[in-house]
Amino acid sequence: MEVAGMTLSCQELVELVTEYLEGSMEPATRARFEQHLLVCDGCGLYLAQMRRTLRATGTLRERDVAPDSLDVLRQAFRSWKLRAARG
Amino acid sequence: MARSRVGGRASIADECAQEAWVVFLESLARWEGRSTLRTFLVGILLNVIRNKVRSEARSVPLSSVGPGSGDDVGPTVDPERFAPEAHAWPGHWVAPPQGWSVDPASARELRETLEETIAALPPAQRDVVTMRDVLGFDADETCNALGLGDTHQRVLLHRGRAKLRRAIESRLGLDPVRRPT
Repeated sequence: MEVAGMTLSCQELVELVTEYLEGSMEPATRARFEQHLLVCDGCGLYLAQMRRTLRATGTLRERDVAPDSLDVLRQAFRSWKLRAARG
Repeated sequence: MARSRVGGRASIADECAQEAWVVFLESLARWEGRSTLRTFLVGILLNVIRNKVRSEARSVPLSSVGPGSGDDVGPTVDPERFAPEAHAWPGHWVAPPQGWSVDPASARELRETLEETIAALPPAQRDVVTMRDVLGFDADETCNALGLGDTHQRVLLHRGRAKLRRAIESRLGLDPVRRPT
């Protein structure tokens, strides 16, 4: 995304955070983005919170499968094998 | 991995995993090797979860996401948090984010908030956030699995993530402009 003008407002910056984190930003825009971060605590905090949010979202994956549901999965596999053997 | 997708209700998530497993086994014979096994399995899982979520949708409190949650346009941060046009510094924070201190005791609450918010996202945002941030697929894999272009994928990810950040902020009682709707 191209942003008009030399400086980026905070309101513009927050809408560019994902593009920045994805590494898909034009070099000129990235320079303005990073310059803004140097002087703006609010935007620095916003970016840090976005990073923290997506790290926290990643931890949702790490939960173990409950032993009960493993039993159900094993049972489903056994009956599928039986059906496959017959068919 | 299905669990996080459907709002932290373990029984529903377990049902999804079970159902996906059964559908996977039954459709393995139809798999022709045109996609990788990983993509094939994710496709099945996404379908099962979509169907489940659709039938569960009515029980999800949409108010937890806030106004404008159904569209893909408009600001992701409340405009009231920035100075207006007439101000000396238009577009600069008037209500900047406050620091978060999340102690270990509230980590579980944080997960619940994230799970509920993901479940309540518009379906396209939910699929992208689930693939990218929950399951850890990269942008290309996500575009391929969901049939999205690069830019669209990024817009959906951006809007979904912004709502998750805002949900945490709100849960911590730090959202300065949130009012009951």
